[in-house]
Amino acid sequence: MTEIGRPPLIGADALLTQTVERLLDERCPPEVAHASEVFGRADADLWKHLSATGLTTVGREPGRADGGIVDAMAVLRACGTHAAPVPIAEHGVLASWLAQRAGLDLPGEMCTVPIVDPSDRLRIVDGVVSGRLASVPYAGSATHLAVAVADAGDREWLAIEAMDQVNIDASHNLAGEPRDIVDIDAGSTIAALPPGTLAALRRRGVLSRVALMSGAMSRAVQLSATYAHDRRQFGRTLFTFQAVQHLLAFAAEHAANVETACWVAADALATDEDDPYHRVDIARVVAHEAMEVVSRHSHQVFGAIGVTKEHELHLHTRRLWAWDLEWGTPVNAGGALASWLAEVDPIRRWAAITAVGATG
Amino acid sequence: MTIERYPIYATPTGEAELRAEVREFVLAHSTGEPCLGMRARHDPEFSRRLASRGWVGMALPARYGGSNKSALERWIVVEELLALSAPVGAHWIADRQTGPLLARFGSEEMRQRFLPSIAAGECWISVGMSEPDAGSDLANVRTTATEVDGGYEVNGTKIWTSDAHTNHYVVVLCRSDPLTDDRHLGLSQIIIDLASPGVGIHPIELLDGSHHFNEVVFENVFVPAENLIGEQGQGWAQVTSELVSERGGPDRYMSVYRLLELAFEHVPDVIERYAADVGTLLARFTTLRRLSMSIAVMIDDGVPTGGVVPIVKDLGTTFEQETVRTLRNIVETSQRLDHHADRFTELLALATLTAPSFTIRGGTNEILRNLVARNLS
Repeated sequence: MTEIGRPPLIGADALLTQTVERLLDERCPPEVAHASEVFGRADADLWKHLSATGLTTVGREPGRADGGIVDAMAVLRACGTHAAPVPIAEHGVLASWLAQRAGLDLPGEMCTVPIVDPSDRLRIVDGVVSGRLASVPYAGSATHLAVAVADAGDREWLAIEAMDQVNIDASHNLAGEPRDIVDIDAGSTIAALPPGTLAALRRRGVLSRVALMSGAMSRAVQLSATYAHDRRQFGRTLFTFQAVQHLLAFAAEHAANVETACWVAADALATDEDDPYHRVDIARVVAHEAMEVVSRHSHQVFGAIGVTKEHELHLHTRRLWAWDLEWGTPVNAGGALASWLAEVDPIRRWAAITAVGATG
Repeated sequence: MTIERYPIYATPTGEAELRAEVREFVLAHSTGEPCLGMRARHDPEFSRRLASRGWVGMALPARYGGSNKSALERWIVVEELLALSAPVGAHWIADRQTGPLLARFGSEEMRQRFLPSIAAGECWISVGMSEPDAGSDLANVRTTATEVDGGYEVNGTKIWTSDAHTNHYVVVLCRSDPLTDDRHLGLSQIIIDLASPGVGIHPIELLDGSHHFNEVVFENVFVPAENLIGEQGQGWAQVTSELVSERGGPDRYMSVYRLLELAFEHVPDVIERYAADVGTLLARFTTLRRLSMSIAVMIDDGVPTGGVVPIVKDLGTTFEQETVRTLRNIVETSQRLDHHADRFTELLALATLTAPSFTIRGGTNEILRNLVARNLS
């Protein structure tokens, strides 16, 4: 019988995870997210501390072929747990990676990347990018914007715009996070990107949302479980009611499932950015299912106070609903997954599902 | 209060090759007729051949006929066997739980007596836990084992005893000591020859027409003292460890894999039209199995799995039911079970009838959720 080796653990560097969690525990209590929504800006103080510890560019590491994506997802997960109001996915996971692929240095302190949206209208003519971007995270706080675009001949380019050269119309997602409409019409730094970058960018975008959601779900489950142990009605804690235990249990199960899917997808992208086994689509669908259960059940356990502005829960559940549909939809991801498997040679379908060996 | 997190692993080296070996073997020695996972056919010849390849009793020590393989290696082989509908029915329980139970708690004499034939695929064993008054509440068992000269006299009734009508032995959970304040104390596990005088086996037919469950009545059945497994009165701890093997493995999500596979073959137009719904099923399936793999690695590492096992069981069996529900929603099917039906139609009809049992067998999901909730304290 073939010898089986020790399976490699998929996980981020333990020290890194500890560092980011501690920093956020200290610098990002719920008030920070509440305040950011009121002022409509990224939290500059938090950003400063994250930058100083190198956590804003962990998605890009010189000399690492995979760009440290597993570590990056651990950072995002922690940010999701704290509802950190900063464009860390955009700057750290997307912009820095795009710049690296184009052979450029990432300019500026805070770089954002537009969420690819069907209503984007972009043109690239004679090396000049112009048009309208429908959803740019934290455009009002960022110093630069990194836009990846394909020209009429399907060649891919990276344009880096200084934010003071573009027109910003403020808007928000369901969680009150800035998702601004930006008009570009100035010429700026433009560099060629390797073919396939746009597709790979979308996958990183989806994965970034899955990681953020995974963190938010853990926090929502933790909050509601703690509450159920504290809150007393009918002379006993909510937790002593089996109906409540089951709400929490099912939510916790789904939180474990999405975390699994997140690591599997991160590892898949680290191995092959083309994601031949569609692990990112899988993660999108699993995150969607999980967030439906977690958001519904955590609100159910909290009762009325959970839907108040004052309470912490909505910081997480509104983000779950918002992030679920950013960078593509679960319904399209599910469809892509099934369509892909339908095209695989029947003899190789099980191998495609297990992602062990070639699908052909 | 922190939420427990579980390790996730990437593919180990050798996995692709091992799966290919198993696949080649199964295709050479069985018809590959689709079935619903662990409701696999009873095929003594296949069990013996599989055992001679070293794939039965894998995790048992080599000195008893096993191959000292890891839980992970067994997980890979078992999942591949289920994916191919291999006829593993005869040796399934003995391999999955009784062999490990005896290896862990049995006396040296008992291990020598049973393990070699379990590893040879030739000793088939049933689980005697549930009773008419003890289902989810297993500690409520009433079957008694009274000490007599040379052994025990067993009286009581077990129910839902799979394959008692074809197997050699049954491991019976019984009350061997007087009941005290703690119902979990005073229980023992005794292995009983199903051909013993006083054992009555009565078939229970299920709604799908199948017979694998039985009611087994013990009337003054004499069992020699050396058939006691482990320590008298310590049965509860032993059963708890045995149930882990039952609950976190591939049989908890593989029941409907062949059904999905057949859907892709038989109704590709439906798959395409409802791709998003099918994709949802695939996404759940591909993710769950990674958690099940983690359980195997955690077992090898000696890490407690009590938190993650019920998650796989609950989500896995729920996924199995959702698969049947989704397919029935999107496919036009005659729902026939006879020779007028193609393989997909027949398996879907059978799955429809069997689906309620997915979330009941091996512990009802409601109990499993209680266990998950306990971890949120």
